[in-house]
Amino acid sequence: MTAAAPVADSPAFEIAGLSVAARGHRGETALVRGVDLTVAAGERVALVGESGSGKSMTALAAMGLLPRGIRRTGGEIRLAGRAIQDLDDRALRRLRGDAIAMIFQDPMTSLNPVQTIGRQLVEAIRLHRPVGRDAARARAAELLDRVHIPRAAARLDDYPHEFSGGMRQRVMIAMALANDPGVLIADEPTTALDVTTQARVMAILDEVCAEAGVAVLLITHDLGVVGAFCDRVAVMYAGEIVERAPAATLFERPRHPYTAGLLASMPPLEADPDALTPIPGDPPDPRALPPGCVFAPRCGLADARCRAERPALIDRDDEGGAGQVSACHHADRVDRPEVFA
Amino acid sequence: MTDATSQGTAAPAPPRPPGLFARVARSWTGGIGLVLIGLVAASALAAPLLSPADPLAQQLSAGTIFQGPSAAHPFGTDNLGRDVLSRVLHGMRFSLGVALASVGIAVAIGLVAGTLAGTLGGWWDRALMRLVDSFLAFPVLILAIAISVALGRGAGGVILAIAFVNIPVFTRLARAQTLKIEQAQYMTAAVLMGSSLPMRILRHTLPNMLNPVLVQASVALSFAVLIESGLSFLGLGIPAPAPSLGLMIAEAKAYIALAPHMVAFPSLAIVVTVLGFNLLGDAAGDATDPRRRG
Amino acid sequence: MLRYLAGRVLDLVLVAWIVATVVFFLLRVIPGDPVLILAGIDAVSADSVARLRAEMGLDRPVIVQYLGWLADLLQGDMGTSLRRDVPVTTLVFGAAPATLQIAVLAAVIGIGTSIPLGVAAARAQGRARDGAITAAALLGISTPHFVIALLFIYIFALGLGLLPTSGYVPLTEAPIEGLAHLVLPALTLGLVMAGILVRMMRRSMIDELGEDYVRTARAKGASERRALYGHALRNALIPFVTIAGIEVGILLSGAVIIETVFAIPGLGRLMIETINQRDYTVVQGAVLLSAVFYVLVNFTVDLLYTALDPRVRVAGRRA
Repeated sequence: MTAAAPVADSPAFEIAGLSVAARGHRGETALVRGVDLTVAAGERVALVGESGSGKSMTALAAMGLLPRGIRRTGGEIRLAGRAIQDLDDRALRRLRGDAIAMIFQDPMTSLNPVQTIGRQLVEAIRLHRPVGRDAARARAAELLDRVHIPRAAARLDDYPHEFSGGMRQRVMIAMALANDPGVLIADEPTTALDVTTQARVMAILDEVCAEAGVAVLLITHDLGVVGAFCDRVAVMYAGEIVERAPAATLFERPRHPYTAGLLASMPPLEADPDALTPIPGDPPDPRALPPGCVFAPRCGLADARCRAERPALIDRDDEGGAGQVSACHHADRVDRPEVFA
Repeated sequence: MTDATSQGTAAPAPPRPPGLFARVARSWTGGIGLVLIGLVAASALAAPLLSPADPLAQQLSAGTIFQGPSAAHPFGTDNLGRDVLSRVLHGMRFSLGVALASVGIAVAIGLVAGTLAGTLGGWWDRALMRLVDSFLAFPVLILAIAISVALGRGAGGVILAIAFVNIPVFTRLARAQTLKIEQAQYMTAAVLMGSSLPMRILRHTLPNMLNPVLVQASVALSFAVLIESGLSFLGLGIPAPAPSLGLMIAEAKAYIALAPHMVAFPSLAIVVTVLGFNLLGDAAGDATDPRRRG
Repeated sequence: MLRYLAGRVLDLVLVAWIVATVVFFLLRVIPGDPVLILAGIDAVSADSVARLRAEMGLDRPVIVQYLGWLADLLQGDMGTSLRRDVPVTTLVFGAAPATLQIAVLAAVIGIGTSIPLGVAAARAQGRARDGAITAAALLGISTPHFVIALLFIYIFALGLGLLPTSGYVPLTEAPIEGLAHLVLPALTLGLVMAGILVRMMRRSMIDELGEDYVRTARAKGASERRALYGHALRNALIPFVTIAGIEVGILLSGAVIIETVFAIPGLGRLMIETINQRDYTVVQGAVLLSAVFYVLVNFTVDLLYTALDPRVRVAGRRA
């Protein structure tokens, strides 16, 4: 990795060897194990997985916002080359909402219901910029305008419940971008919205991120969102990254059966419901992981070796995919229609 | 790691959730609550056996009144030379009896009224809930006082007064639960299978509201003991010389400087009983509501 | 907003009417004829019993009595004491100030201590400080008012000789002495109230601290303190205010016992005294006034609630 590289050349955001565990009655349960992820300046990377795969925990760990009872057990988080995981609360606070910002899944509950939109935007600005109330308010109106809220200045005095879900998520986007962060983590930003609103919010996110040149880590379970929005994709399963590749390569030629399964279960654009194949079975209980490949119990390609020996993430460049890595003993046999036959 | 790891790839079956009682007993608040209530209930039941003396027997002489705790009188004696321990035990018996009877009546009436309001809906529902709300507009003790005065003194009046102030809570609870259960999938299934309304109420609605009713009943019991002691303290409970904890404390008030044990022991009995029901109620509430932890 | 207020006032009037009606009929079913009780004391003839009955209007049908009583009530007339030749209003309004002073002071103590303690417990959830606060609160709600009152009397008044244990001195006559007489009664009521409210505040604060918008505040770079006091607290106060209102109303119930213990001539003691004297017109007036205070407190709470929660304001506007 680039730990030794000069700070100036470092990627905007890096996660290296991140592990996260939950404290339980009988010791700790690992939820995230050795995750590596890099996002270059201006780049957009998707972290894809089913719910419970550990993708949201990865994001929260990166922000230092893990809930009670869950802690980072190892690894580094680097912002522009600077390791931030061991900073004290005060120093970390200075980065949150400034150098690195985050938007959350549910816009209905992510805004404070008893404060006006304006007040919450002004707070985001004034926590990091020494500007007066009026200047911050002007900036807040400008931010709302950027996410295409009509009559932005007039709506500053409205409360969250007076906005629709899609508009609330746009407010969240505006708030996250208030201080021109270098990195934006978007955790399932459209999952709680209906389909038409989803497209609108993603378009606005796309537009403002391009304008701001911000590096984006998009957390999602929906590969459909990924294709249009992201440069690269990392696929997470049961707390581990199982495949990482440029978006186009991944869609064209997945090198992990789980990725292939996700692609097969994606609703196609031209309606062909018979082609929809859900992945059989359920993800493993993190307290009782299989000894070999974590995906083996659900995999059509699994053999004795898969059940005994955990595969490492291996570079698939030699097989023709540039920048593609996957953790599978049978990567060469991964082919979409056959995996779950 | 847990021992489940060694079981390999087999997905462990989720353990069957234990019953309400087991979950309550397992939490330490519930455990203490159960122990306290167990002690109180045992003392109340066995009061005639445990009492060293007749709670009403007076021994009027300079040496026998206002005695502090001793081997013969572990809780001392009162202004009339009566054994305080015996009076406290019988007082607890009375308190607990009144609390159980009144909450039992409140649960029975509240469940019927609430379930009917929830199932029938419409005009019935609105009228009944309006009535219930208007009774909630009274300060509880004052309502209990007014009712017990109207019904006359004695155990019956006290029981009915306390039952009455508890009815609104159970009516609202039963109504809310009925509406919730009516929405459930299995109810739709039961309707499709041609199950009659009374049958559905008996087979599904009532059993399914058991847990929330038990939680509320525990809180109501603590409340009932408090109100009973308050009414007795004000002289509106059962008439003297019957041993009731509130009345004992009211009588002892005049001698608090001389014989504080006359106040202390009945007070302790009330606090232990109420505390026990509150702990049980808390633990049961935590056990039934996943949002309430810690 | 105005329409919402008008609706609430209408509700208030409706509840007051129901309360008055319940009070009237409840005291009508009391066993024992008040006239006979009066007559028994004065040892008068059957003739004068009939006259008394007519004078008190007890010979008329109940429904006529009820309507007459309601009409009188609207004009501020609660009737005359059966025992003393004094209007009921004079007695109940004479007793009310003492009760209200204790209630206000107790509410200040109860609310003032429960908010910081509840927040402190929520912040330390599961740790020793939380355990201590929670245990103290549980003990508070499990102890009857009169037990705490007697404990205070024993410690402060008899043991330390610091504070008066009975009686009432109007604040307007001797402020210091008046206040000294209020301390123990108000402290007793306030502590029990705090027990209930601390639990409420803790629960409410723990719930709010787990909400997404608090995480948003942290993600913006807000400090723990700011996330707590700037965001979670006001939301936590919304359910708290409702319960606090109910508890302030319940203070009036507690006052019945407290006034008896501390010999304070308030509404509660008037109620108990007149019950024992079977002076039911006064009992009726005292119960009614207590209930009206209770309803008024809840009305005030509704207004406060509206101020705290913008969602209610809009719902009211659109209703």
